Amino acid sequence: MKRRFAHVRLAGLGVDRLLREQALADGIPAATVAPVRGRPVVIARNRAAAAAGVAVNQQLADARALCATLVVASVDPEADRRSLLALVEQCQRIAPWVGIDRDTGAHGHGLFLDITGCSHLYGGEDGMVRALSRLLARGAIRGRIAIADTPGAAWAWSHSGRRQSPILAPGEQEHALASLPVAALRLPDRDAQTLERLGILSIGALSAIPRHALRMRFGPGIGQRLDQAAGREPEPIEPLPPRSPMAAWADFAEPMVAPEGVVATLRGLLPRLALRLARELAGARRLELSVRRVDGSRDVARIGTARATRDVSHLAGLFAPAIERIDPSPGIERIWLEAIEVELLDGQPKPRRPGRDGGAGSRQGNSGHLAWRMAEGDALATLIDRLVSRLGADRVLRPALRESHLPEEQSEYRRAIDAPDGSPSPACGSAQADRPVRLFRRPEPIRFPAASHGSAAGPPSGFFWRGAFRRLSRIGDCERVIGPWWRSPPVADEIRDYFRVETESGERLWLVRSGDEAVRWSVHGIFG
Amino acid sequence: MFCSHDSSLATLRTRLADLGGLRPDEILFTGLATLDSRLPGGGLACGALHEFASEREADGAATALLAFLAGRLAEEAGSPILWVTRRDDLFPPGILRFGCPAHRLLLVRCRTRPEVLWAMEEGLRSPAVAGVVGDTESLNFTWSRRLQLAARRARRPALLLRDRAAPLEASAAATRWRVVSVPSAPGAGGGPGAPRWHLELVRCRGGAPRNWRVGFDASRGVLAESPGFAKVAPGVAETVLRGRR
Repeated sequence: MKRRFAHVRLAGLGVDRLLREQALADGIPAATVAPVRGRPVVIARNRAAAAAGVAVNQQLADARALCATLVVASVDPEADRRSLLALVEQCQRIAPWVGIDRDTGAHGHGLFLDITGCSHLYGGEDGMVRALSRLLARGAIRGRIAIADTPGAAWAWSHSGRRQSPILAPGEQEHALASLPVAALRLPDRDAQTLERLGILSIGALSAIPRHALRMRFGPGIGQRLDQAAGREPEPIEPLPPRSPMAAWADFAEPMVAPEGVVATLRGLLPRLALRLARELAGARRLELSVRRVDGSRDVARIGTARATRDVSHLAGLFAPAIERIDPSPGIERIWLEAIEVELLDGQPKPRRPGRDGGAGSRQGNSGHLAWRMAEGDALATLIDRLVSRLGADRVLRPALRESHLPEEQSEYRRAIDAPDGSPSPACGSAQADRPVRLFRRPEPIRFPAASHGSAAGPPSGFFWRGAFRRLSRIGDCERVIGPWWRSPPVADEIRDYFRVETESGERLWLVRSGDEAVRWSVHGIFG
Repeated sequence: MFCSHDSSLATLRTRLADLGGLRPDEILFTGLATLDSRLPGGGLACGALHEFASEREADGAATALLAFLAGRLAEEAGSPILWVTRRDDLFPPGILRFGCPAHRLLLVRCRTRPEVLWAMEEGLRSPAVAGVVGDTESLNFTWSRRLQLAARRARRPALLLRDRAAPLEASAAATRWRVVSVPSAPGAGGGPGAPRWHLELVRCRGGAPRNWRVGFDASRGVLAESPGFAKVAPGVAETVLRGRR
């Protein structure tokens, strides 16, 4: 079988990422820069920038002078590498052997694919080029694709400016490459410059020179490149191993229509997934169960946990409410269970925490006489997971105290799934003042007859609230709360006067007077 | 068998405990001797449902008492309390004053009553929490029975806070209480003093109904007997003592 290779030349991963992250439209010029000898130099640019006159290896200052609206970002090799690896993973769905091109310059990127025997799956090599283009377009990555008999020829063809078609027919590469410049052979810079000085500009001219002369002057490298491009010498690519997903799946020869079948299959898949996780010493934080039916439709159920876990029964319990919503008809042909987010679990049994009261040395966790039921941290995370799976992560909360002038901001709630272990709040000054056990979200206004009108000194002696008339028997001191000055008005301008009061029947309320010209009295909370 | 009266009583007690009665490490003590001594077992039984009704809408007494009990439970057991509610006005700095620090609470906000019941059962089933507090207006008999069974199976207390003026229905709770705020002694500057409540044990399995007048000592964080009646307008005392059944 004739071998065929494809090369994808990635024009500028950094620029593509910049356009994606900042959601820039196509016509906006963008470039990535890196410091060269202390000065920022343009490394890659998009078409709009090139049209404005920005060139590679140009100083950024010059580029900005030519194009004032240029959007610039620094090169980020780590992010580029991550994008490249993600792209490799995608390309592995098209052809199994995908390798990274190491011959492109310091800031360029490329991929080699060995597509021998794969193109018929896409209806020919045209179809394969289209599939690859679609893949790049989906990721908003610019690239040029070429297919040829050898990696060297494909590399040269993808870098070539003038070409009718990205595909070089078998055996055509010698003829096609002859007119390309010498640099298309991936020669070291020094050799390429020397050849240029000597007047040897095209590959055709280079191949006409007798080999022994080239070897004497430049060493064996050039001859090797020529042979590799022509196909006389093999050039292997180093494929990256495919990343096997942390998943377990089941295919059904007969489409499954019974709803209990999903539950039963899940119970069989979870131990297999747990075994895979165990081999990596990991636990799952987020899992996804996807179901594919015979008519091509899919359904997905997702769960998350507060703590990485492999516990099969716990995960089965978390999936139970989500699975109930999956309708198997007209029939399920595949069920796929994957751990999307995975964390390392240390296999050590968790030691009993010495003191949960954070700091009070004398109180160990088991001094209370009911403490034989002291919980392990895992049991709490399990409970939180179960509550969250039915109610939602925003409704299982951990309260905490906060410093603030305004009473309604003196407490905050954090999602328990983010912080399963509560920690004692730092001692807040607000904890010293007397505060109500219930604080209404919005103070409830009170009405009072004009006779007992609230004077500037204190609250009215009798008023209507929640449909009943209440007469005050005790009125406490005034606590003035002034809005924090560092906030913007109207919060900053607020002045509230709070009074602890008691009615004749014994209810203890928190009255508040607010407003300057239009004085309003309301009940903000209830005391114990 | 022919031992002294005391030791035979003690033997009987241990035998009862072994047969499923109350063990000393399954009692939540309120810390008020006159209260505890009247309850079977010497305190609130852990494996049971206890109901605290408030009757008046704008009365924070039941909330405060439950905050106190939750704080005691969390401290004795060293693990958090699950507080299940449909309301959104629980205020942690106020709860803290009654002995329940914020980091001991795990708050669950539900939208419907079945969700409250489910969350309370989940909490009782888990070894991670010391007890469950449920904040709901009313609970029919079937649900109270379910909660009582769940609490008994888990040997953890379930405390129910019934906060609205809903008619009292039949309930399977081990103890049912009515908690009402009463006028307090004058505090600093003529304002309200320390919280004072009228506690009524309406129904108790193995005990007799009784009333108490208790106050809360915030400086020490304990309940205290508070028998003295402050000067109260006539008519209020009758309303308080002769509430509807």
